[in-house]
Amino acid sequence: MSFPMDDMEEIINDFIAEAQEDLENLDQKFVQLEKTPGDTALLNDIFRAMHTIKGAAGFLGFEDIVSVAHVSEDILNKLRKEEMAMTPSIMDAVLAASDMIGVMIQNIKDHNEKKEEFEPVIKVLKEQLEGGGKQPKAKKGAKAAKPAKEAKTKSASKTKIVEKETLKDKKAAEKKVKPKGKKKEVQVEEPVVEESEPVCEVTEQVTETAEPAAETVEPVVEKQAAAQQEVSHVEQTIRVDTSRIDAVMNMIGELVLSRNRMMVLGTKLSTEQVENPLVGNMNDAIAQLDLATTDLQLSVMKMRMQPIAKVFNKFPRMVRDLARQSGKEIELVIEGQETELDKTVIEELGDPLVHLIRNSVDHGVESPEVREAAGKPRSGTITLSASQEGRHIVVSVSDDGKGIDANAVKASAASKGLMSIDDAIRMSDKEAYNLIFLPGFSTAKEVSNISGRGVGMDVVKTNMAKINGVISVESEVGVGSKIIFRLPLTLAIIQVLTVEAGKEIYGIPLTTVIENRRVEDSEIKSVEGGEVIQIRDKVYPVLRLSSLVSTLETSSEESDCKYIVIIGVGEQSLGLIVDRLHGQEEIVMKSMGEYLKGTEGVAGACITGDGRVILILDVSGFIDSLNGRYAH
Amino acid sequence: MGTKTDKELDSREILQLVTFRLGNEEYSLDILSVQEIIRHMELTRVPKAPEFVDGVINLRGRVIPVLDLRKRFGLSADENTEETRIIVVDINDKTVGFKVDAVSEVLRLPADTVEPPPSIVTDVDSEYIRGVGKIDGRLIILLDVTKILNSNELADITPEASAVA
Repeated sequence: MSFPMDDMEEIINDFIAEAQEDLENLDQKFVQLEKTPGDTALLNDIFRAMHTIKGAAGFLGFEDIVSVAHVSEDILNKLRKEEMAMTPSIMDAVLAASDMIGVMIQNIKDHNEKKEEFEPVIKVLKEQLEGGGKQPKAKKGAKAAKPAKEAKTKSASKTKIVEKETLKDKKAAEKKVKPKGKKKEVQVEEPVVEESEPVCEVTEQVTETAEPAAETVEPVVEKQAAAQQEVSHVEQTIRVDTSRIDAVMNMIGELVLSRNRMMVLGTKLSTEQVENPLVGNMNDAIAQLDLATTDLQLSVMKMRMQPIAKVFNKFPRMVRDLARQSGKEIELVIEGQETELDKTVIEELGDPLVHLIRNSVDHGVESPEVREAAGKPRSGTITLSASQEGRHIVVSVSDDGKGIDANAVKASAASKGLMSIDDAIRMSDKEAYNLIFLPGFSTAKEVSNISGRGVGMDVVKTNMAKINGVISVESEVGVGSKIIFRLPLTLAIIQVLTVEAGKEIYGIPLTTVIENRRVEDSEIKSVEGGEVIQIRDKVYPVLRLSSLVSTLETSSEESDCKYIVIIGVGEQSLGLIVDRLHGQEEIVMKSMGEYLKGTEGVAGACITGDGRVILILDVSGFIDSLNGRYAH
Repeated sequence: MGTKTDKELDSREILQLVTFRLGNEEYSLDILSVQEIIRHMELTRVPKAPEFVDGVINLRGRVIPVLDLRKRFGLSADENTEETRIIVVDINDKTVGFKVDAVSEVLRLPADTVEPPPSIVTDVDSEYIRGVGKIDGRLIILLDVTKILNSNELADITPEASAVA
């Protein structure tokens, strides 16, 4: 190759990034294609993407990719010319091929020089090609029986896509595919001509048209709209290191504090120097500053937000594969994929959802026969939805399968020694559902490929705890189950309940607070060396914040009336006695720095509006220490 | 940025030091390790932190711990006065404040006037001392900041804190 090494490296990196993006889109499109097998526009899209990958790979000398892509392209070509009908086994073969290409590209990226065994994939593809393509080649285009009207509108809407495509291609061509450049140029000059090839075929067949023209107009209009939408959806993005955004975020935090001080000073001035006209001017300026700072803060927070579609997109393919593996019929419905969430939250969300969906497929949705016998539709539905509720994002996975059998869960937990039989009998159904999050828990009688090891739900719980998420489970036997996550919109800003103990103020993350109320000292009972309190029908272990944080000089106020804050993480909860409740505050959590990192009971610190530092309590740390207390 | 080693002390270079008072003695830190000097401000106490950690302060949006050097060196505690200052040092990405009785001046001291730490002269454990400098009849104790932050004593008091640090 005549390129210097550095250039080559860059070209290959470009290829990898583009191909990976293409493949990701392909997965989506394949699944959609399975639902609408006759969608030629979609098929053309897929064909083009595969062709682009093949072309670029060939140019760069990745022969393995070319051979796999080539055979897949053959199949796609036949499909798009309707010489072959789409069947699930063809789909499997093509998907396997696209996966194989993905693996190969990853290998190139990792520089590991690994050779993949791609022959079997090609063999399956070829079998499909020969098995499915019975129709002789002479019949090419014969089946393309579509009304002329559609063809015309379509060619118009097509042009748009083609223009877009060619623009992209042109860019790509300029960048790397020099020898191909000429050909692409031609395409740019006459985009309609190249793309209208199928259209010509169609017009020849006009006389054979069976369907009335009017009927097809509507979908075409829809397609046109879709095409336009696609154009407007072209992302205009730059990649920025998150640490840079965080740095900006920090600086804005300081700006906000300065603004707050200015505002306090401004108010003071206006009471002290009523006559001075400059004071009014200054207050105006401060008001301006206030607006600008607030907007700035919001904009930076938005920078970290991404649509949840980023996680959701991989699931249609996953559900399809899992359903085929387990011989079930499952439809995945996705709702609210445009909902935006903080990047960190999105990253932590992927794994839990994978486990939940696997569970739904494996344990939730029944086999088609069982479903029919129960009077349900053959095909089960798994719904993945996201929506914003105030300051929270609610993400849920629900299925219309057999639901969770609370008694089976209890029995299984008891038999595994996770709890006593007495406890199990007393436990409510709702509490029993929560048992599924215990590590090592599984009701599955045998471990399958998909699930049953009892690890998944533990992962779900751990990841949720990491991002301050709250999990709840709803289920009804025979009707289905639903697992709901409530997630914070962003991790950068959290809400805390500020409480006072021993004349000091501490913050408790609001996501962990279940309730708070006044208590009399007499309500707190002493049991086996520890203190407990009964609120309604539940007994909570009690810790006193003042003694947790106290040193010799600060002791708690001696008064009968105190407040108790019930806090909980996951299934465990406890009551924390404090002297006073202050209120709710929105804060930016800061680390205590390297030097004090890991101090017991403290999760971090924050700076309040008036510039003071308050410490945020580490609730799960308290719960762990409580467990320690019982263990001794 | 870090402090210079003993070998470098032997050379003929000029040391620039920030000097401060703790009790009746004068101490100093290498000026390169000092980020800034601020007045004493309101602290937030950190429960379960080592005893010599006075608390944390808000330094323009950053939360940094403040160590009481008196307590750190086992001297008797004293009330804060108008003179009390916090010397903010920045070493190996750790920003920490040292509370001292008063900050005196920035001093230039020829390295060859600095002698190795005598064993019984000062109140401070000689482990934290790089040397003693003499100028105009004054004795100035050169402290080793890295040792103050990383000593084993800290590990004994808060195992978690030093495990992470």
